Amino acid sequence: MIQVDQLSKRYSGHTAIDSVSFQVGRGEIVGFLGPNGAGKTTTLRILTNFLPPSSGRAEIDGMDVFKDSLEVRKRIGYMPENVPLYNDMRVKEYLRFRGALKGLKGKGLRIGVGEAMDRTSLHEVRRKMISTLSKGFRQRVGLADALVNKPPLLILDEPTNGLDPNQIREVRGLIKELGEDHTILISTHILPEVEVTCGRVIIINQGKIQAIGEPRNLAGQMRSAGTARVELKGDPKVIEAKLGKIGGVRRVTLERSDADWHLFVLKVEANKDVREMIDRLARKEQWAMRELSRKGVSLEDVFADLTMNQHS
Amino acid sequence: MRTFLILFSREIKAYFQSIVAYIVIAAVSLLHGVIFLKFVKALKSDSVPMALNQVMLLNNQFWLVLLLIIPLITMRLFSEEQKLGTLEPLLTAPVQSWQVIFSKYVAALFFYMVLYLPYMFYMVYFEKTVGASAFGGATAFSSPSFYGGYAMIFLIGLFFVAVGCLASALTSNQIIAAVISFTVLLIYFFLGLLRVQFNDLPQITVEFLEYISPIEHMRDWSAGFFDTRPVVYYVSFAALTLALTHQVLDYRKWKI
Repeated sequence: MIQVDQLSKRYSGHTAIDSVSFQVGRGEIVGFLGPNGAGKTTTLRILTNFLPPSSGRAEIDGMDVFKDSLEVRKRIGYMPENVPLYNDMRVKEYLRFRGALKGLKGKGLRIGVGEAMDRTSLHEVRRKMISTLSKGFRQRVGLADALVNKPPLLILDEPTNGLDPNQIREVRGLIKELGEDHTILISTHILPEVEVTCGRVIIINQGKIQAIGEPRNLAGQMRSAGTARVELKGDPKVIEAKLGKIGGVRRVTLERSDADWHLFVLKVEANKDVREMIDRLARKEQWAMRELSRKGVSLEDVFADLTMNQHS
Repeated sequence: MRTFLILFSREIKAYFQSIVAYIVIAAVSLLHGVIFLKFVKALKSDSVPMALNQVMLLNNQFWLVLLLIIPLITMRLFSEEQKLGTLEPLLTAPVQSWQVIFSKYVAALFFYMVLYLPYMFYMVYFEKTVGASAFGGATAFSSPSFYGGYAMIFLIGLFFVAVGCLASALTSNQIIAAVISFTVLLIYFFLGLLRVQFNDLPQITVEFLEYISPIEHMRDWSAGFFDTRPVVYYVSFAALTLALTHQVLDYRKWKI
């Protein structure tokens, strides 16, 4: 569906994206992940024909984004960052305008607008002025606009930006639902969003692609460590020293002490489970234990690892 | 064409659904009324060498109103879209930038012509009342001034509204857009009056200034002398200015 090849964009003096290449297959939901200023929006703007690349090519549905720009734009439902809308229009009026602009007419327009409003639950506000809508509703109007002509590809730039947790959950649900009959590329810097909704992740930082893969696999490949937590009763110095000697443990830190109880956090090599050994050690030393748990490598760790190291 | 009509009707709605439009229409008809009244009163004492509606078209106050109208009706066109960011969804829809520009331009031009309708109504009413009577050397109402005048208002509007579009495309701040277009148009208008201020200008300069001066074009047309040169002049400058606007709007697509 999307084929991006060695795409670069340079502004005078700085490079926004540098030789970015990736593919998105039909029916996929792909997350485009990176810190602010990484080049996400620039890439999406090139795909939607708002900006030209400095070099490289991008194809959508086998058509060059710049040579067949009108055809390409008909196939994309794009929701820009912060969802710019005309404040002086009413919701339904705006969607009718957008639908007509995207080539719908007559009955097709009525059905398209009706279905887009159904999917985004906009019926109750259809007569409201856009200027009076809350952020959550504005976001939905933006989504409805992207959906109105049923394009095969949706490109959503930070669709949950600025929403409250309930709205975020709603939008996420909607995106998952849309994923059943659309190819979706969403950009975000919110990690749980990607882990929940996306089948594949592209991590970008400082204009370069850092990693592409499934969220779970990415975590598995990482060098970064997982963690284990254990809360024990005893002499903290002794415990710390002995825990540190367990194979696979990289670092032990005392997180907090509560009277005789001490909570330790252990950095452990990736994909290694040291809980059994801790348990055995605790029995041997006769330390009382009231917590023992393990956290695998999360996408957050991957993200931090890929994007933070670059700065230092 | 379909796309143009969709965009055009959106622009027209944006004009007429806003209270500002009606305030502007009211203010402009009031100003025209006041100027008109001033001349009607003058009829009592002075003898006028020209038809009253021609005198009005050549009056500086009438032109000042015209110069004020243009920034007011064009400043919003692109500045607001740039400020709200709505240019991005607009230009990533399957439309071409020139369609966007042309629809906004034609809508602004339409609103501009609407603003002169009350003035035309005054003239029709005036003609019905005193049209045939003569004051001094001329009849009070002259038909060429009526039709030629409105046609010249349109021709000048072609160019001036385009200048307003360009100014609006240059900035996301409406006030700055208004200041730019007002300044440019004011300077342009006063070039035509230089001849009156300095009477020792070389002949060629005088001819050039007369050639580009809107008030001179109006003098010809309102006297029933329908010179075609201003038509070519205004149409081509309007086209040039709109082409520049297109470039400005698409500047992000320049490869620097």
